Amino acid sequence: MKFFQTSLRALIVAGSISGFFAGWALLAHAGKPVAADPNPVSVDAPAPLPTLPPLDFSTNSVPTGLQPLPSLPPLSQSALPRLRTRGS
Amino acid sequence: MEFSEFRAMNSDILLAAEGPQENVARGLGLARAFIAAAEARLTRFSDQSELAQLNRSAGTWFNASEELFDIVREARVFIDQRGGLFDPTVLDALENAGYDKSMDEIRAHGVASRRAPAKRVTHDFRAVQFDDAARAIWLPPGMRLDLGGIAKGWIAERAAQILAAYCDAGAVDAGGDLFAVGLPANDAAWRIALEDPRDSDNVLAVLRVGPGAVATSSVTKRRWQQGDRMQHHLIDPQRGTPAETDWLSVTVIAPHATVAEVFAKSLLIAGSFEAAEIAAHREDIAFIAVDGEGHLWGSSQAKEFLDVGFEYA
Repeated sequence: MKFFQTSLRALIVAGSISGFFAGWALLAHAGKPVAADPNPVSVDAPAPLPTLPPLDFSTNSVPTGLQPLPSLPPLSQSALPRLRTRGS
Repeated sequence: MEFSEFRAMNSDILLAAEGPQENVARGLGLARAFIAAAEARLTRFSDQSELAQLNRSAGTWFNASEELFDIVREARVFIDQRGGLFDPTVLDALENAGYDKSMDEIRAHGVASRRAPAKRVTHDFRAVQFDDAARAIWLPPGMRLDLGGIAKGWIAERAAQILAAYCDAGAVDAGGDLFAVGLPANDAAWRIALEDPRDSDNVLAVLRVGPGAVATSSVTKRRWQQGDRMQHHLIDPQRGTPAETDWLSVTVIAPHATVAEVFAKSLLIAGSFEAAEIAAHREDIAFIAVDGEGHLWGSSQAKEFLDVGFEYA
């Protein structure tokens, strides 16, 4: 059991050291990073936002698709048709 | 023009017909008998009606009469309309608001005090099934229907067709639902007074319409006091309570009475900011709304139906 533990530790240490040097070698041969452009990028000024008309909260606003209709002045019943639509 | 007036469906009914006198009398009699028989079959205020039997049969298949089958089938067509404002399954909500007996009884005796708020149960009318061959209807368990206005419109149109079989021209005016066939001999249109929903003695406009339907829904006709609250019979299906709307009435002109009835009710519930958008999807209807101050508002086609023989303000 002790022999197994010692072997496992040695294997982990050896693996870590060899992995470290392998990574070092890999990075040493990798391409160099490109230096950042010292000149600032020019950005066009944003176009001004369109101005919206103010909201109309008055009670006189007419919803889309509706139109006001004229109504009759008071009339005598005798002048009116007998058929009548009066709701239910 | 001959007239026949009587009371049915909790409304003042007016039949109008012209033609050979003997035929007119026969047509008026048959139309009246049809209305009485159809009311007995379709009312929700009698436990003996066929509609009450259908409601009790929820969860099982019910063999229906041709009339009941036709109306429930037709109601199904409207359930997918824009706005979701037509729903015949709101009977529980109507009764909870106090409308659990006929309007004539409510006017005479008032309503019971408001019930304890129960958990709202909603039903999907799309779940109703039909067997065309057996003329049978299946309601999901617990669902009850109130055919109310759509039944009244359907009855008015059928009664008008009975008149048409005997008369040269005729009309059935069933309170909120009117259907005309043919044209009066001395006129190119039917003239129909649009009643002011704030004052039944006042008329706001006179309409000129051809053969077809005119239906008006109003929140001022069938209303009652329940506790400290005024209630009316137009239930907003999305809330399960009487609709809160900025209009008092909406009148719809359409080719068929069920279309006019369903859209009059739906547009009234929708109110001024949604009605025009809902109606824009139906080229076959025109509507006129009355607001709280008695002003008229209409869809783009509505003005064509105002009788210009009167001087409008």
